[in-house]
Formats: sequence, structure tokens, C-alpha cells
Amino acid sequence: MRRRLDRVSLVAGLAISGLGVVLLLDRTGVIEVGFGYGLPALLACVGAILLAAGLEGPRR
Amino acid sequence: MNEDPNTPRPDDPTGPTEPDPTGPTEPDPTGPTEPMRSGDPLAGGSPPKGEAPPPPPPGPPPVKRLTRSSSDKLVGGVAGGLGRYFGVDPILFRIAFVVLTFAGGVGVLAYVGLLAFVPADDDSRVFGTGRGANLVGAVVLGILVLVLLGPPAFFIGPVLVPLALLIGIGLLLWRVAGGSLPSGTDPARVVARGALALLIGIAAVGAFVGVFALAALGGGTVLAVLAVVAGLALVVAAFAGGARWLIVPALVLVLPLAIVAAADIDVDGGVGERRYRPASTLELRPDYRLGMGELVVDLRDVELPAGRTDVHVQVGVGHTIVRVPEDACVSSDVEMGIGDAQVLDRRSDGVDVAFVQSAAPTAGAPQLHVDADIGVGALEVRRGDGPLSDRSWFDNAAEEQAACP
Repeated sequence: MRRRLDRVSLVAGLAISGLGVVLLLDRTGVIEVGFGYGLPALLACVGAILLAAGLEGPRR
Repeated sequence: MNEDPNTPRPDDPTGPTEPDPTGPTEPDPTGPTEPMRSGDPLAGGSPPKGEAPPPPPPGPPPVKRLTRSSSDKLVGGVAGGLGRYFGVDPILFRIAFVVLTFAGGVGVLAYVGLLAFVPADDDSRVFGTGRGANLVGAVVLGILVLVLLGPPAFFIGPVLVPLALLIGIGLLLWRVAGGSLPSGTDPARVVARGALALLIGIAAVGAFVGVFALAALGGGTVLAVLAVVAGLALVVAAFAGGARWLIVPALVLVLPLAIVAAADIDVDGGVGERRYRPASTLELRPDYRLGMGELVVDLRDVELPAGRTDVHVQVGVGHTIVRVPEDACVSSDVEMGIGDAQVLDRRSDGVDVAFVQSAAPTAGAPQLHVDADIGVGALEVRRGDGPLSDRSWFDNAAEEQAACP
């Protein structure tokens, strides 16, 4: 049986992995993330997950 | 008498009736037939020909028992049984057990306790059914709890006691006030769900603090890699039905790491209070570091040579005071994640505080350059001989000080 794509997990995965890459670049000294960019990015990540969950609805 | 005129009367109300060999009764063209009610005197007899017998009257609901699940189990079926009992996904209990395991072993203790004393589906018990064996098991577990839950092994333990007291007092007040639940709601279930939510919340806070400390201690790179792996795992799992349970742990990993990265907090310099008062340039260090606490660098006794002398201060979280010689011109380069920085007459606060202050000393005059890198806290660079305890942070006198005397 083919399983259904879970969009919430997909959006959360993309957002968290993207944020993780940014933080990894910061920790390795490639870029410098301050609150000016870090906080909006964090809120956007959480917001994207909540938005996806709200549009998708609860799992059955 | 609420007899439906369309309902056919039974032929023999005294006993069961053989089914009609001719087949099912033709439907009434006047409309559907109302089912017989329990108060109907006709209901006591046998059903009419061709109709199924009425269902038996509902008895008392079965008593709900907490048992370990033998079908939904990873180890002993404790989480599966809890999930079935409370009507929630067992994965929540599994996460709680695992996270609480890192809080001084509470998760293991709770799991072993439930494994020992909660019977399985088939009524079997780990310690058997004998009272003596169960008593011994309880004593052993109690001793383990007393040994392991004492600080510092279980740092959240002291928080749980007042929380439990608050919950108890709240429930008592609620009962006194005549509070009631919606009909059909089991109060024990409501309390248990609240306790579970509280436990998960405490575990999340504990994990948040742990990740924060780990990131601030220099493990940020590893944590960032873990966050990327968790995110990729979520993406892959999304095509196989999803793994939403992984979202919260991944966020608990990312949120504190992001704060540490944004504030550039590094607590790798120790914790506590550090006071330095070099007497000469020979004792002057180029770098003063503190992880968390208060750092005081008092340079008033140092006779600085002509030209520029650099001092670097780095504090993860805390208060930093740099006292400069009376005759030195002071320039600075300040970077701070969150906090309040004041270098003589220059002040800035908020998030991402960063400024460069230059000085123009006269020829042959000493210049002190303060390079400050603060994660969260306060920085104060000031001139003057008054004792530190006599002056509050960022008093007005400091604001009147110029870069050069």
C-alpha cells in the first residue's frame, strides 16, 4: 500500500534542516548569525511548521 | 402508551417465536418502523416474526484497568498500556520516559516501577502475585528512588515537589469550590493528563537547558549537525507516512542552539567571579575570559606605555567591569548578543549590540583599546578610583567620562 505524503513532516524537516545548516555555518565561522537574522529565521521556521500543521489538520 | 400504530403486534408475547420461514417481512409502505422502547409493555415479549431480537439492555460499563500492553510493546509494554489507558499515543509516554532518563534516571525508575507493579494483559506480574515479593520489590525501588533522586543527580527534583504541592492545593480548592467535570469525564484521567503534560513540559525545559549548556560549552557544531540530520530524517520520513513525533525533539535541539549562536555565547572560561588587578604591564594579560559570572579587570595600577595597548575581554553570560587608568585614552570594539554596554560616555543596549569607539590621544599619550566580546549581560568600562561597591551599574558619573582625560 502506498503511504501518503505527510506535508507537516516535510515542511518541518526542510525548515529544521535549513536552520541547522545556517547554525552549522555560524558555529564553524563561515557566517555570523546575530539576533537580527537568527530570531526571525527561528520564528519563520516555527511558523512554517505551525502553518503546515494548521493547513494539514490532525492525522487520522 | 407510546405504541406506534405502524408497529406490528407480536403473535405470541409469552415466548420466543420461530423465524418466519417465508422470509423477511415486507417493509411497511407507510414509513419506517420505530424500534421498541424499553418501557413499552410489548417489548417484554418475543420480537415479531422476521425481525431480529432487540439488543440486550446495556449493562454497567466495564471497569477500566491499567495494564501493560502485550501487543504494543517495545520493552515491557508500559508505554503501550499507559497510552491505551489514557487514550493518547504511546509515543508520548516513550518520549517522556527517554527524556526523563536523562534527568537523573527518573525515566528508568518510573518505567521499572510500572513494569514491576502494573500487571500485564494476562494478569502476570514481574514479581509474581505474592505479597512478600511485591513488598520487597517496592522497598528496593524506594531505596533506589531515594538514592538517585537526591541532588545533584536529579536537578529538576526540587522543582517537582512545590509543583506537586501547587497542583494538590489547586485541586483541593477546585473541589471545595464545587467544581465539576463534564458528564462522562473521568477526573483521574484529567489529572493524569495534566500530570503527563506537566512532566513533558518539565522534560522539555530540562532538555532545553541541557542543549543550551552544551552549545554554550562549545558543542554547537555537533548539535548543528544533529539538527541537520534530524531535519533530513523528517524529510525522508515524510514520504513514508511522516514522523511528527520527531518535530518537537528537533525543535528542542534547534531553539537553544539558535539562541547560543545568535548571542555568540561561549561559557568555556569557567563559572564564578574573577577579579584581576595587574600592577604593571608585565602582569597585564592580552585576554581575560569568563564563561558565566562576574569579571572585573582593574587596570588602574598599570602605567601604560605610550602608544596603543590592547586588552580583550570575553564573557559568555554575566557582568563585566573594566576599570581603566586615569591617564589613558580609551578606544573600544564591543560586540554583545543581548545586554547593556557602556564604555565611558558611550552606551548601547538591546540585542546585537555592536559599536566601535575611537580615541585620539595626543602624541606620547597612552591609549588602551578594549575589545569586548559578550554573549549576554552587561559591560561597563569606566574611569575612577571609587570602590566598586560604592557605585551602581551605569551611574550618571560614568556617562560624563570622555574617551580621553
